Amino acid sequence: MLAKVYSYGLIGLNGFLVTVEASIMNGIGNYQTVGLPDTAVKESKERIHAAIRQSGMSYPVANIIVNLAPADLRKEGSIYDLPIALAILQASGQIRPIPENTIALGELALDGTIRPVNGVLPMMIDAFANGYKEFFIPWENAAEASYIDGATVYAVHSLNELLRHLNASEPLAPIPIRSFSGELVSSSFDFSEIKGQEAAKRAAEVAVAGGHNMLLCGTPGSGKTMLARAIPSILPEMTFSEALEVTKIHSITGRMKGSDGLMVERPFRAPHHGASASALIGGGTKALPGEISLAHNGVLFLDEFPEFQRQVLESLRQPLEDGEVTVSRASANATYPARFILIAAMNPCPCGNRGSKTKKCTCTPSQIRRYASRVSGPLLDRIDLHIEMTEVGYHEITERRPAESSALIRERVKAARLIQAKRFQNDGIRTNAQMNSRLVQTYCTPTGTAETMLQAAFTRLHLSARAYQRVLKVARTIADLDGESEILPKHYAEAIQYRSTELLKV
Amino acid sequence: MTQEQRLWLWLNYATEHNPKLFYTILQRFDSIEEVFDAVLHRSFDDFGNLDARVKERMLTASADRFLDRYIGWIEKNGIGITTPESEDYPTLLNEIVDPPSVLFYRGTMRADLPLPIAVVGSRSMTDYGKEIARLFGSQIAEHNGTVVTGLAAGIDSEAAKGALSCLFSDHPVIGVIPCGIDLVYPSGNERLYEEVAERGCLMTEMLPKTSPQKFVFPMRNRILSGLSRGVLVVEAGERSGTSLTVDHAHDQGRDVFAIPGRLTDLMSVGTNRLIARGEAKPVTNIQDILSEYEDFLQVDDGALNPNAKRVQFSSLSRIGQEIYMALLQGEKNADDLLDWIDATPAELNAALTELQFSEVIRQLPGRMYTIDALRTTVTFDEQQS
Repeated sequence: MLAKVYSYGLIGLNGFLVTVEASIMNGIGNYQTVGLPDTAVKESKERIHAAIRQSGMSYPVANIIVNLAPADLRKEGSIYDLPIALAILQASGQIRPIPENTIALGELALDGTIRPVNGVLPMMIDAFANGYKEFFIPWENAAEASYIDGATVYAVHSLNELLRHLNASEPLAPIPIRSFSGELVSSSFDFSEIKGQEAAKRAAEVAVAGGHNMLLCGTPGSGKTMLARAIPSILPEMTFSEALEVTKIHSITGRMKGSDGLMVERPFRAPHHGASASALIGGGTKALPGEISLAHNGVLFLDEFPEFQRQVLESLRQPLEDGEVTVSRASANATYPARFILIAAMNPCPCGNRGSKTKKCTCTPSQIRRYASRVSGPLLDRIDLHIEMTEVGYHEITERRPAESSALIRERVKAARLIQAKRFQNDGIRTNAQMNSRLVQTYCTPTGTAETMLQAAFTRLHLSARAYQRVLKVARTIADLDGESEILPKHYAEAIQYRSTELLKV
Repeated sequence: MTQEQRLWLWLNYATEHNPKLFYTILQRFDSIEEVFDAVLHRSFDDFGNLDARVKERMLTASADRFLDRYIGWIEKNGIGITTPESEDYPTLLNEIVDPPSVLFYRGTMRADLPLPIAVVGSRSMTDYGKEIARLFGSQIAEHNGTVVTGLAAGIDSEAAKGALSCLFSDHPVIGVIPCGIDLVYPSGNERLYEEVAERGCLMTEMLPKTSPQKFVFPMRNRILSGLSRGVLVVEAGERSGTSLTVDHAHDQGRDVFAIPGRLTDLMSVGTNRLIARGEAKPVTNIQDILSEYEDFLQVDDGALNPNAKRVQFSSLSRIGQEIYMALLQGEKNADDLLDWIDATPAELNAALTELQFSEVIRQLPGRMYTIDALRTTVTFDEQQS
């Protein structure tokens, strides 16, 4: 007898349909899996055997051939346990054929329990778009699957439960579809807790409002890390499509197991400076996403920026420009989105005291040069805002005017983002930072006094053409925060201020 | 190269450019040829108490093959040499007790320079020292003088850069370096070295291919002051190598000038002390130096930088005026300024850019701001002042 059950596979973020075929022929119990299965798939034989017996069904004593089509794509992991088991049961005539538009995913335990798997959401989104409306998925993956409007999703605890559903003795109810609320979990730091640093806080507001990258430079203890960690508290809520994108990426790496469905909070990733290029960019034999993709739609915070390996930092250049990254490995090849706000923090010199009023810098000029040169010019060019932190003295810590709360700042950020969304509705982008040079020309053309000022800035600050464009983009964001449709000279002037740091000059 | 220069080069090599030893040996004979002949004939009786190592070097270097290769290498690399006997040897340097027996140089060597002034100071400079070194470097060059510098990091290099910024001067700077003429110290100064060699002169008494060692710096400093008519100390800390240059200058009868600094500034302790003890003349503008040399006396208008722009206080924006008034009371960082003036961070940033571009203020590391008095003089209207 022959049987067919549908399942799904993933290349990067894109899914492909896997047809699981089982054929049972007379024989002495040979079992073979064909169709480029990896070891985990081949081992499924033993799990399936035990699980079928434990679920009160009989395991056919015959030659069994399992084929996973298309035969030229590699099938990985344990997600095919459930569809293979169903195909075998169907081929041996123990259950009725499963409807054509149904997808089954899940790993089996020896006792028949269905265990959670990775990548359920991206697979389901793709399958649903291709006309598959019914899904059998592990119970623990139910949360992430509950946002697909129109799909009938059965979250199953065990093979036995599924079999009772299939023979209609105890039908399951599909899981309720939830609607996206976008409510935010409060972040641990609030901007009102940061003493002083008004100028740097303003820069952070600009960076978040326009999706700009930011470099924080300052003496140790000036609050670089604290400011960066407070940034999630002013990030605007994600839209449903943004949340889906983020959840898909996190789903592949298995971070969604047992969590409450969609990622609602924008990701904040802070890898240590020992990170390798493949940890940051993505890699491994399966070409999994790296930190920059996990930070998609959120913040990538790189503390001690120059301490990262040079080659690791340079590999950031292309994704910073393109907003996506293609990870190529011998056995796999995948493209992941990587549109994040880069927040980098660095000391002004190896000892950290350069530019300090109270402490003496003990570094030699060549040490400082070497330290600063670890961050290359092309990389700095791609960072829109260069912010020097001021040194916080005693009176700043003790008495200060009351600082603004994150909630207040976030309202302004949201308003500015709304203006941007309206402006770019036909351009396929969301923020000012994503503008290409053609859009920059359309939306930010300096005139009159602004033009002379920018000319002066261009020569005085030795801006490259790319850096110049970034100044224009930042000016656009500042004008948006101001609610101005026109970019005024004062907006350009403020934008230039965020580009002129003495500490980076050696 | 004359035969005489060839022999000077030989003895200079053999004595490892030790001037004392060089002249002691030379005095025992009538001429350098006789020294050479004595070595060729291996009659070392007239040399007195001679170190075995020097004897060895004399013999090795006396071979024609060796000297030809040495001189060939020097000429191939475009290196010039001059000896106290040569016409282009600096006259002032020839007056000191132990002038270098051979100077290796790149660029143009001139015997007489109109007004050579050594600008010296510490390696770790403050922003004030950097500004002043650049200003006086350029002003010395503008008044047809030549800046003499060691091209070390800090004040030395800044003074050289200032001098090079004067485009009409045809010999703005001399660099006296502490290493072989074919090397660069500190590394990273390559471009500055090239510019100095191109527009002025780069010179050293060190043998080619020797890298600098601690003890050569005091020896180098005697050349700095020896080449100059005056020595200007821009910044010097409590214990600074600069004091050795000052001692040399006093010994050689050169004038010493010092830039006064704030009493609390660590990098001005040395200069203020020189002034307090009467060892240096305090300098408040370039005329204080020029007036010591009659041929260069010019009309004194008392300004630190006569080329400074003038800006009306009333032409500044409201926030610009407030920032200027706040900075009059000392450097402030961006957060301090927010406490002083009535403005949002956005307004402050915009105003700061405008003031920086009109050169009324300047940004320092650590987001500090200071009044750019060297470039711009802000004048008040009569009604307002």
